[in-house]
Amino acid sequence: MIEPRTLLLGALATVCFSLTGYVLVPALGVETTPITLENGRAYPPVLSEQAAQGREVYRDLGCVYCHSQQVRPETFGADLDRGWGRRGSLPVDYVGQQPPLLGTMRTGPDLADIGTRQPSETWHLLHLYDPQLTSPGSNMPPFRFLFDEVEGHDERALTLPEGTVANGVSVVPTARASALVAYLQALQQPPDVTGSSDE
Amino acid sequence: MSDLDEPDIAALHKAVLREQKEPIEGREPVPIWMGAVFVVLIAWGGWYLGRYDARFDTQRADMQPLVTEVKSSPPSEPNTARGDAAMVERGAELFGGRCAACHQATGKGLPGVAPPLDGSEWVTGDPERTTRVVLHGLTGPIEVAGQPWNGAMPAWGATMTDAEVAAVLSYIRTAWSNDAGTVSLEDVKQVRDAHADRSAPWTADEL
Amino acid sequence: MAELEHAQLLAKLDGSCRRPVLLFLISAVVWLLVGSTLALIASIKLHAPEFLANDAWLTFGRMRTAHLNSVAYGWAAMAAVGVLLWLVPRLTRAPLRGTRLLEGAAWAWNGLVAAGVVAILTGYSTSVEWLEFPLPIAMGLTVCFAVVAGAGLDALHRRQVDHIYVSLWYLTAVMVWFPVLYLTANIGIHGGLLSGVAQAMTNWWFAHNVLGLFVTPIALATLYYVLPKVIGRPIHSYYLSLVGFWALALFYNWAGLHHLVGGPVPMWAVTVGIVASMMMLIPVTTVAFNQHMTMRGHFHLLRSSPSLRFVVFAGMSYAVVSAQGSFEALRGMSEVVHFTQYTVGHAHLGMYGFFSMMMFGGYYFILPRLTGREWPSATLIRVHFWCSAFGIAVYFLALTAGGVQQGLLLLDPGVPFLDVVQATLPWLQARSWAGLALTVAHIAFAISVAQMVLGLAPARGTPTLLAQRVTSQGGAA
Ligand code: HEC
Ligand code: HEC
Repeated sequence: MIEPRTLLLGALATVCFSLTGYVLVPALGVETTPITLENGRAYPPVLSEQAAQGREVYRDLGCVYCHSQQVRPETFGADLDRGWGRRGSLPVDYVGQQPPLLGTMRTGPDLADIGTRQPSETWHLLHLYDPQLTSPGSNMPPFRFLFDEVEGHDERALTLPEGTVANGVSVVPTARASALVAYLQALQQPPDVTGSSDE
Repeated sequence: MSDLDEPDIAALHKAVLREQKEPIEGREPVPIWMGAVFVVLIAWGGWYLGRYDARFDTQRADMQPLVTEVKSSPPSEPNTARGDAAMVERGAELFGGRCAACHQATGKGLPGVAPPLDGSEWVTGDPERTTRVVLHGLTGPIEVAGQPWNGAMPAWGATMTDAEVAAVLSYIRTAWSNDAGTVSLEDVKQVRDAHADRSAPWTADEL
Repeated sequence: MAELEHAQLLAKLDGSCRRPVLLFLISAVVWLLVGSTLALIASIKLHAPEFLANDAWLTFGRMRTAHLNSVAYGWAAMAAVGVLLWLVPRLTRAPLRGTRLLEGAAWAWNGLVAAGVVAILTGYSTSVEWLEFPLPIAMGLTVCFAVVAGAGLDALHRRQVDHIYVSLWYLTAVMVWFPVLYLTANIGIHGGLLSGVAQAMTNWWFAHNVLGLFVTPIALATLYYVLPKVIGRPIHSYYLSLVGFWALALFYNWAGLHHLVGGPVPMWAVTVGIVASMMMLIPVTTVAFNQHMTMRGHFHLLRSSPSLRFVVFAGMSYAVVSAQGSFEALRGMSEVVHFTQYTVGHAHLGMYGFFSMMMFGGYYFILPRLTGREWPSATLIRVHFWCSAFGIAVYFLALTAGGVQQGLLLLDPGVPFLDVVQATLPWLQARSWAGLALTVAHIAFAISVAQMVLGLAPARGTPTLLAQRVTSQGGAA
């Protein structure tokens, strides 16, 4: 015969057991401070202010639901062969990230090392404005609302194919679009991250 | 919502009156076969845990060698000694990861994004020039297969090793309708060393 | 006339929880409709990216997230709480107390979920899966659930039974589990205590447990109650129930890390997650076997009883989805299907084929007892059942096949990424059609429920059956 006390204590014990293993142990055991690389630089580097703002744009638009940011290691999957990274991702790559945007879907490619793979700001802006311009057949949504349409010529205007917008109209990235691209360019996982912990 | 406020007990009775008894449990034992299956399952679990526990080392990421071991075997280094076929194959993968976003998997390029590599004299011509384009980038007006282009090709020297550049060049020079020779690691190294102080992209005039 | 007395007791118990239960159950149906609409929009966007693409709040990343949170915290959680609050008095024979407070909790719950969904649509999502609501909203929901758990445990304390029936084990455990999970995860993650991969681990510890230790137990409690109740026969084996319950409590807790297989998290943790996932075969086998042996000889009742039909469908889905999940966790399987639409198919078989269908069964059983009305139309129920069953079947098969194909293509670096995208599109289109069928089912269901609660349904005292009963036994619907 099961008593309520057994149930309550049993339920509490089982959940606290896993809480210890999956929350407390990693919280205390996984690296949480940047390391110093052999070249003296801290890793991971701090994001520039603009890139940090871009990370917020990435978050609020839900890019994480189509893009992972975790490169699978050499012995698992084909990420390295696809050129999605130069090594498997490690816990140290995510130090200080809040939240880590690991993701669980790959409707689009992994972006952990996109800054290395696609350094071009022009490409990113064009792609965000309309993925069909750079990647015909993509099912990534266009993010046109991150751009302003202004009358006349503008320095920062995208170079679009004829007929994309009305004549005399320029498409100019907003601050949010530029920040997002700065973030994408900053997404890099360098091959060699051996170094010492600051602790 | 008047019905919500006034519980009509008599009406409620109607549905409960036809109810079966409150449920109870029978006392059948757990079948032996099921117990046996569970024992096998738990034994497997113990074995699997022992096999992949990584000694409960919290620094060791799933399916990864330790950080210190990563360094000694950079996984993306193509082995040129394996011969041209393997190198071109690796080049194709690198192309898919680094170049196809602009030049497209077909090598045909895309208007407004990047010129074609398929049938481009820039690719099949002097390999030294192509190497410089890939290592340091290219900007400003150029002509490819009779068409004018004016874009910016990123520099790859900083993020690709000589072997990788050699592999990707060998691939684009032999893929699609292109039929030029492969490029070796030494060729790339020579070009890189010759222009070690170059950081700005090339222009068509310079090349 | 012990039988009459017993019926009076049941009527009294039902009466005690009537208002809060109805509030939770009705709200849940509204959220189901909202969630279905958001789901359809998100689904269409995946194969027609230009669809509703001009506004930030309509973008895929927000629609999909608003969908998940409205069905998880609006539909699923509110339906689960409603059923819990109805089952607890019946299982303890103690009338529910604190119903005013519970009604307040229901209203607050609605307000909080609405605020959370609006927050997501306007760009305040945290982008932490299953925990997208900003912290204040999550704290509000915790308080609401504390009220529910308080009322439930109070009834448990005043119980008038010696033996605690298996359904009540699950419900009691849920009242402990959910607050611990939800509070730890929200405070740890959004309260700034955790960062990096430790945060990701907590995230998946929570996200998997919200299924395993919140919605699953409530659905199983429903199964264990409605099944014997409708067919009028005891559950096959107490011992099987016992093994099933404790195995679930022990193993489900540890299963969550299979969401990070091959990821940058400690290998031992992933291994433990995989082993625990495989061990879930134990509770699942016991539940499935218990259900089957109880049903044996009574399958003809599926033709007539709406609640039984939904509940048994749900129970079978539970066996399938859990077994699938166990093997999906294995590294070899994960290497192919993780990150693909396959996992979406799996999630929906669990949350819909199992959980939602179980709740529908619960509604069909409970509402006549709370409204004094009978379901207005057998046709509406049939439309609901078949559109739901057909919809989820197509949904699951399309994304399972499409996901395996997608996974295999992704493993072949020679296949350009855009070709992988193209290969998934037909499957995603099929999924939209399946979603449409599910939405039709929900509209039929909502019409029935509306008629019940607005007093438009008949009060004749005989159940609405889907077919003539073969036996003379009336039984419960
Ligand atoms: C509906 C799913 C979806 C969403 C949401 C989405 N993407 Fe994509 N993304 C894709 C697909 C599919 C591709 C591959 C085809 C292409 O290049 O468009 C892609 C490609 C990319 C690439 C190029 C990757 C490469 O390897 O070349 C970048 C960068 C990118 N997306 C960034 C973003 C950002 C930033 C967001 C959020 C603002 C976002 N994506 C939202 C599906 C999505
Ligand atoms: C951001 C987009 C982009 C990426 C990525 C890119 N290219 Fe280019 N590439 C261009 C553009 C634009 C030009 C034309 C430059 C100009 O107009 O001056 C070009 C020109 C070239 C040329 C000379 C012109 C021709 O069409 O033959 C070669 C060769 C070339 N790229 C090779 C590569 C290789 C190899 C890679 C991968 C390692 C690569 N590119 C990646 C955009 C890109």
